[in-house]
Amino acid sequence: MKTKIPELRKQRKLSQEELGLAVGVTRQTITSLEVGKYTASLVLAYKIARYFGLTIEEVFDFSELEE
Amino acid sequence: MDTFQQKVRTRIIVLTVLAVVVALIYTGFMLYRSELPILNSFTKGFHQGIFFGLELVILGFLVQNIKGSRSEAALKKMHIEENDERFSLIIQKTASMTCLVMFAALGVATVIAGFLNAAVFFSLLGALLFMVILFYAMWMYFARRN
Repeated sequence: MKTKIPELRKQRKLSQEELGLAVGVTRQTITSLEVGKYTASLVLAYKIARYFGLTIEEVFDFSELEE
Repeated sequence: MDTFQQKVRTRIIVLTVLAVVVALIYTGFMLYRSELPILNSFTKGFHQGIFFGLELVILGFLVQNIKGSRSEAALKKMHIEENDERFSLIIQKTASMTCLVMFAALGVATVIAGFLNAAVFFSLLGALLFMVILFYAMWMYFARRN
């Protein structure tokens, strides 16, 4: 699944480690999310979206599911 | 985080007790060695390896937990590493695939052993039945919990 996490992280000058610490996952999980290898759980998606002050749909691209 | 801190403290106590108990059991075996059946050197080495290995694993976990409990940052890092959802998924997938491969390997080995040796055949059959029973018991337990 595509996400806007890399862009959002760069805008806020955050490292993967810092974002991981803030949402309670490891740096490796953030990397996997960013490259689309791993799909976040609903709870993690909510935590990430809330951290950036956005909705889940604004952070994660669900267009693949709708096709 | 307080609950996790308490959990780590309990773990340190349990691991310390376990390390002492394992060391005492091994010392007991060493003291009463003359009363035990005479074993070949390979079996003796295997027994020693099991005890030392177990002691090393326990000490490893103990050091990890003590390090984690030293500061708030280390505790948080440890909590994240233990509860990371991707890590949990990897563990689940690894365990289920290992279980599947073990079932298949044991099944094949049991069939082959049936043609060669009765003792090996019944040992493998016992192990296979134990795994099947354990699998369904776990399945029922987790199906009720989730």
